[in-house]
Amino acid sequence: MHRLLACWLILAATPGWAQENAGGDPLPRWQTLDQPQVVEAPELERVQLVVRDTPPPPQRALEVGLVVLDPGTGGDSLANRQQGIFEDVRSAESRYLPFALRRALVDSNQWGAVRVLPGSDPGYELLVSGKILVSNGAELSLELTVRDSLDEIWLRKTYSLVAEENAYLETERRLRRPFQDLYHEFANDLYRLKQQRDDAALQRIREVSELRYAADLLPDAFGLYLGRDDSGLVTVQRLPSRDDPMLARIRRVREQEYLFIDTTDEQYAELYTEMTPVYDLWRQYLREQLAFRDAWETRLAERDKPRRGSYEAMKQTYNNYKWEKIQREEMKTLAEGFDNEVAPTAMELEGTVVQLNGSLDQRYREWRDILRQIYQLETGP
Amino acid sequence: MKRCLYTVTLTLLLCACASEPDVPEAPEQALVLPTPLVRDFSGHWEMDYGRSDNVDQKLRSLYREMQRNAQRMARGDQRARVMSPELVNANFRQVVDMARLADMITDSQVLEIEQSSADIEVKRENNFTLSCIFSDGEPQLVVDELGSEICGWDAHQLVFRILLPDGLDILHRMSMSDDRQRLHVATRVNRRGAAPFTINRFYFRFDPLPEDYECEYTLSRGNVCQTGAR
Repeated sequence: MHRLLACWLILAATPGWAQENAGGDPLPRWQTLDQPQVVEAPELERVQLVVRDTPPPPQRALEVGLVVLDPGTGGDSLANRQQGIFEDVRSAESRYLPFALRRALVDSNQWGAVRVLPGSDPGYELLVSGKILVSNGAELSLELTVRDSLDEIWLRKTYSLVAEENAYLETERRLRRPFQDLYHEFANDLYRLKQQRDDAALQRIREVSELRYAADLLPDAFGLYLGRDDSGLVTVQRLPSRDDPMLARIRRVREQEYLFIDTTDEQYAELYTEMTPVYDLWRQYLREQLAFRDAWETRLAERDKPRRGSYEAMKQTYNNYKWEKIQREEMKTLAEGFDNEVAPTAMELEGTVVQLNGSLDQRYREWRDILRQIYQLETGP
Repeated sequence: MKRCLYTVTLTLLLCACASEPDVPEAPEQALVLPTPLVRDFSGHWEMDYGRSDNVDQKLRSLYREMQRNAQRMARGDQRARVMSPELVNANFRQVVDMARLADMITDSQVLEIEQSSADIEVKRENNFTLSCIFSDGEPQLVVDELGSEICGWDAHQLVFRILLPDGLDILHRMSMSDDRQRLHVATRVNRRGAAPFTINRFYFRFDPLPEDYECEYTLSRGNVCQTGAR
């Protein structure tokens, strides 16, 4: 970890690095890899996505996997309810938001295939995982971690953004998505981090990714190719020959897996498309509720307090409680309305209707097991 | 044992709430909640004005009682509670305030109750929903920024107690007639240093008109209804 930190410090101090990143956009801001840094984008800042005109050359087109986010709800339903966190909505958000990030990465045209993954895959070339910290319409806060196949952490950072006042206006939404700046900021950060690495470093990430996949499928044959250095990073001990028939077979299996992921990815795309208008409404309502609450609290603070124990005082006490409860009930109704609309999104997979909620991760694991079995059948005992 | 432990914890929790300056006072005793005898309150209920308390009448009766007491005291009657006329008036003003509050918080003409083995929701017209999750018959305590709620079964009665700042203590006690056609909600409003006031509301069951369509609330399209669903 110290070595990693030292690397970052050296990089940050390197003039060339600063020059590479000098393009008007601020440099990535971090301090330590262990302590996620909270960086709030200024409210009215427009974060321009750094976009390539042409696709990146193959040696720089890393594949990126975005794991479905941790909804950040914990297990205490009562506490969630009190905090205005609706588990069904968060569950949908945990699938929606990676796709929103994916769109920013795809739009930047800086990467190879970018996929939303139902479960974690440590051997992925670049893996993005994270947790929803706050999502209430007015503010979005995501803790994101990016690591490569070597297990090197590229980024661990909390992205927070307060939505602009008119973010949910129809005219505004046509121009840019609510919280789009946050997605762009993340995509730009990732791009800059890639720019710090030369082709050889990226090639190593790809090699290790392939070998980790192979070792996962056939540990006896491929586990020996890999090791770990003192800082815990995965290293290549030796490489199989380019025309290794086992490796060729594993590549075919991996292609099959990508086909599966692409199928599920289409389902996420469908969910994203279907959910977007409803989700915007949900976030808009949330924001309005928060604004109403702020205004209510301000009015309360400004109001003259009636004599303690008087009818007016007791009525005020009761009504404060009553409006708080009614507001929560309205939120619950909205959450149910959201769920009624989004939940029926189902996917047709291998002739079976599978609800996106819950079972996809299991399907993914089953699929990997099947691939492993196919491989073993192909290779024989 | 678990119940004892829970009750003790609950009492301590409520006492802890009371030690804060601006949170509800501790109840005189924690709710005693024996083995639940669950009643099904679900359905639609409409207020029966004929049987429910008339607050004005109740106040007049209370005022007469207080006056009688003052007169007895003036005659040197041993049964009279010592109370000056000023105190009678001051106390009565407090009672009137409590009665007005009790009247206000129980003025829902219609209740809609949804109940399952796991929870109950008492939706009250023009008021917030009273809800309770039944966890193995144990009372449920919810502590909020603006108040605390405790609910649970007390034999065949369902009890909701709301403890608000300034020592305001509201207790709703719901029970149902054996034929399940009448619902009684006794609401006691209490405040530190004041006499409690109890108001009784009675409701009779009614069946809403059957509908030929089924509606589902959606966020972008509002209520979406299908005809012939039933």
